[in-house]
Amino acid sequence: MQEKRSIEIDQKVVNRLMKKIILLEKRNIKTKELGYGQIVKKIKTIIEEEVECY
Amino acid sequence: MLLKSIRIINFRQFINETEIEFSIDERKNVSIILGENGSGKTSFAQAFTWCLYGKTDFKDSSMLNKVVETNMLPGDEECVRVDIELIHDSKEYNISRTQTYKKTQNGKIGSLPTSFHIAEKIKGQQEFLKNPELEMKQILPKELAGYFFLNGEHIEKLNKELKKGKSQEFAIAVENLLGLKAFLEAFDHFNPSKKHSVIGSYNSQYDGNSNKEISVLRDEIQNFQERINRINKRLPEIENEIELGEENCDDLEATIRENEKSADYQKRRDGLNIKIEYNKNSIEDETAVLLKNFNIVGLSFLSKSLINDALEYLASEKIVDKGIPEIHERTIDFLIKRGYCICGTDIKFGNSAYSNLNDTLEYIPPKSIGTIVNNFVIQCGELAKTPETFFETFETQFSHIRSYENEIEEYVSEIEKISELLEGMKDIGVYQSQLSYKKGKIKKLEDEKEKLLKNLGALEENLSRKESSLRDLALKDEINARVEIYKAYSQEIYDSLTEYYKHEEAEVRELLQNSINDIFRKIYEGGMSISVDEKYRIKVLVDEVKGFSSEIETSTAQSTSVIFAFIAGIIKLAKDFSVEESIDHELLSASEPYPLVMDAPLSNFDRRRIKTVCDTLPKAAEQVIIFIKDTDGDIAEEHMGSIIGKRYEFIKINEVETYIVTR
Amino acid sequence: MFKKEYVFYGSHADKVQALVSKFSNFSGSTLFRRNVDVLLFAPIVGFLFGKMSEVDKSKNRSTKIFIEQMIREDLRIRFNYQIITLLDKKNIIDDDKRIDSTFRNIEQEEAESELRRYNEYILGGVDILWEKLIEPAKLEQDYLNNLYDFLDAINDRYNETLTNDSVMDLYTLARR
Repeated sequence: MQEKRSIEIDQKVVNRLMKKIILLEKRNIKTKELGYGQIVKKIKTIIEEEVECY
Repeated sequence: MLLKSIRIINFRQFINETEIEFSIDERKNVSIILGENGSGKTSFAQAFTWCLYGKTDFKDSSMLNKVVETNMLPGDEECVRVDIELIHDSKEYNISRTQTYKKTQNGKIGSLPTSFHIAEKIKGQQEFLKNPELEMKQILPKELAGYFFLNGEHIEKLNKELKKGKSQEFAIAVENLLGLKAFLEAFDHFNPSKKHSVIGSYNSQYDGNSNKEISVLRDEIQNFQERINRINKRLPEIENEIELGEENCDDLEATIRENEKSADYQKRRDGLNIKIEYNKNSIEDETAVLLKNFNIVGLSFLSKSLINDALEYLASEKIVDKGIPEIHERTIDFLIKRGYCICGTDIKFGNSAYSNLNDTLEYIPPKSIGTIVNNFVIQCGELAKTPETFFETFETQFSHIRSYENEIEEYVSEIEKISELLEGMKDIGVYQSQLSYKKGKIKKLEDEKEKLLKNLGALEENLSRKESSLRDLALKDEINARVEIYKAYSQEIYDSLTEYYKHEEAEVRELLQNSINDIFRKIYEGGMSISVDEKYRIKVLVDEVKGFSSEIETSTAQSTSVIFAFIAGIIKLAKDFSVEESIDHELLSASEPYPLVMDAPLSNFDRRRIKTVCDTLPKAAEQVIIFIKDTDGDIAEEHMGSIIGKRYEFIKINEVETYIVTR
Repeated sequence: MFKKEYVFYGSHADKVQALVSKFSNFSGSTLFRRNVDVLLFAPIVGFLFGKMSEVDKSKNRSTKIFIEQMIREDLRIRFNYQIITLLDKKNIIDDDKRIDSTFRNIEQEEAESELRRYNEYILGGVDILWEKLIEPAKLEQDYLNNLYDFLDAINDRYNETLTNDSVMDLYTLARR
C-alpha cells in the first residue's frame, strides 16, 4: 500500500515549466531536431531540474 | 519575419541574375510583382521554396535556365543560385542555395547536390552559420512556409478542402501559425496513456512494490538492531559477572589455601575421634571388668568388717558348748523312750531327768550349733581370704576409667575447638565445591559471551546487508518519492496546459473567427459569416435572418474570399499575438509575424471585393508580397497604391526567359 | 529356708530392676549382674547402713529370682543371714537368742520373724543401693562414680584398719 502523500505543487514552478516546455516544443516544431523520445527525455530533465532547484 | 530581397541567378526562366528588393517599410508594406500568367510568377514563388528548402513542385527537377543549359559546352559548369535576404528575430540573414550543373561529354546535364548556406550579418560582417538546415528550420520551418507562400495551387487545395468540409489544413494552419501546435506536441509528449511519454515513463519508473519491501526491511532491520542491542547490553553484564566470579574464585582459592590447615585439623579431629573411640572402648571393657570384679569380690569386701566382727565375737565369746560329745538326739529319744538313763535314773514325763534330757536336746545334734558355727567360721575364713587389694584394684581400675574419661573430655573439648575452627574455616571440601561451581559458572558465562559475539558478528553483517538493501530500496523509494513529485508536476503541467490550451484555443478560435469574419465581411459583404468550429471546419453561414443561419454553397469567389479571410485572419491574429503587450496569450506569442507572399488572383473577385482585399490584406500582415496579373495591376494601384512600396514586373521574353524589372 | 523363689515387690522391684539395668550401651554396663546378686549384696548393705525396709506391695510390680538361682547361691544367702543375725545387736538384744537365731533356728520353718527381719535388711539394702548408686546418677559415668564413692565410703568407715592378716588371726582364734 502506497502512502498517499500530499505533494505540494508550487504553481510558480509549474508556470515556469509550462513556458519552458512550450518554448521547447515550439522550437522543435520548427527544427524537428528531436524525436519523441528525445523530447520526452528533455522535458523530464527540465522538470526534474526545476523541481530539484531551490 | 521580413523578406528583404531575393536574388535569382539562372533559376528557371530567370536568366542571369535577377534581384528584387522587397518593401520593408512599415506603412508601405506592399510589394507587387506584375506578370502575365505563365510569366514566371509561380517559378518565382518557387524560387523561395527552392532557396529555403531545396524543393520545388516542378516536375522538371532541373532548375537551370534552359538557355544557359543549351549554351553549355560539354564539360561546362553553370550554377543556379538563389539568395534571400531576410530579417528574422531582429537578425539579418543571407540565405543562399547554389546548385552546379555540369554538362557531360554526351551533352547531358547533371547536377551536383545543392550547397546551402546561411550567413548572419553581424556588425557588417557575414558570419556563416554552422548548421544552415537547422537554422533554417528555426527561421521558417517548411510547414509554415506553406502558409505564407501561397500560390495558386495552394489556394486551390485549400478551396477543395473547404468545399469538402475538411478542415485539416486550416487546423494545421491555426496550430502552426498561432503556436497552438506546441501545445498539441506537448500533450502528445505528456500523454499518460502513452507508455513513453513523460507521465507514462514516470509511471513505469515508479515502483509501487518497494514501499512494501521497505517496511518489511525496516521491520527486519529493527529486529536485528534490537537483537544487537540486547547482545550489546548483555556483553558488559557478562564481563562484570565474569570479573566478579573471578574475584570470588580468587578469594575462595586464597581461603582454600589458608584453610588447607583445616585438613590438618580434620586429621587431628579424626585422630581424636579415634582416640575417643579407643578410650570409650577401653572404658567399656574396663568398666565391665570392674563391675564383674565388684559383683564377684565386692560382696566379700562389703562383708569384710562384718566377718571381722563376727569372728571377733565368736573368738571372744566362747560359746559354751553345752553339748555332750557323741550324743545325738536319737540317744536322748531312746533313753526317754527306755525310760531310764544311762546312769539308771528314771526318766518320766515331767521329772527332772526328763526335763534335763529335753534341755540337752537343745545342745546335742542335730540341734547342737557347734558344727554350724564352725562351718560359719570356716566360711568366714574363706571369705576373708579375698584379696585385700580389692578396693585398691577397684580404685586403680576406676582411676583408669576416670583418666580415660578425662582424656575423652580433653579430646572432646579439643575437638570442639577444632570444630569451631573448622566451622569458621568450613570444610575445604565446601570451598572447593564452591570454587568448582563458580569456575563452572565462569566457563558458562565465557561460552555465552563467545556465542553472543558470534551472533553479534552475524547479526551485524546481516544488518549491514539489510541496511544496504534498504538504502537501495529507499533510494529507489527516494527515487520513487522524487518520481512521484516529478509525476505530480508533470500531471499538473499537463493539466494546466490542457486547461490553458482549452481556454486559449477556444479564445483563439473565437478571435480567429472574429478576425476572419472581420476580413471576410469586408471582402464579402452579404450577410454571411464564417464559423470556425472546434475542429476548424469552416462553414459559411448566411445570417440573413437573425437566429437562423444555414450553410450555402460557396462560389469560387466566395471560397477564395474565405481562404483569404482565413489566412488573413490567422496572419493578423499571429501579428496581434506577436505584439508583446498580449500577455494573455503569452505562451502563444512565440510566433512572429510572417510576410504574406501570395499569388493574388484578384480577378476572382469583383471590383468591390478587390478593394477590400487590397485594404485588408496589407493590414493583416507586416509585409505583403503579391503577384498579380498585369491586368490587375491597375486595380492594385488603385486600391493599394499608397501602400505599395515596391513594384516589379515580369518581362517574359520567351518560355525560357524572363526578366524582372522594376516598375 | 531360702530355697525357694524370691520375689521383689513394688518399689523394690523397680529399684532392683534399675540396679541390674544397663547404664550404658555396652554389655557389662550393669552395676549388678543379676537380681540374685542384688539379693546377696543388699542385706550386707542394709545392715551396714542400719536400714530396714518393709515390703511394698502397693504397686503390682514384681521381679523375681528363680528357684534355681536361689539354690545355687543358697550357701552365701545363708551366710549373709547368719552374719547379719549374729551381729544384729539392735534387733536381738539377747546374745543367746542371737546365737540361736543365727545358728540354731535356721532350719526351722517357724523362724518367720527372723526371715522377716532379714528380708527387711535386704529391702533396706536395696533402698540404700538404689539411693546411693542409682538415684543420684544423671550421666553414664555417674554410676561408676557413685559406686566408687560408695565403696570408698565403706572402705573408709569399715575396712581401713583391717588387713587380711588381722582378720585371719581372728579367724584362727575363733577356731578353737
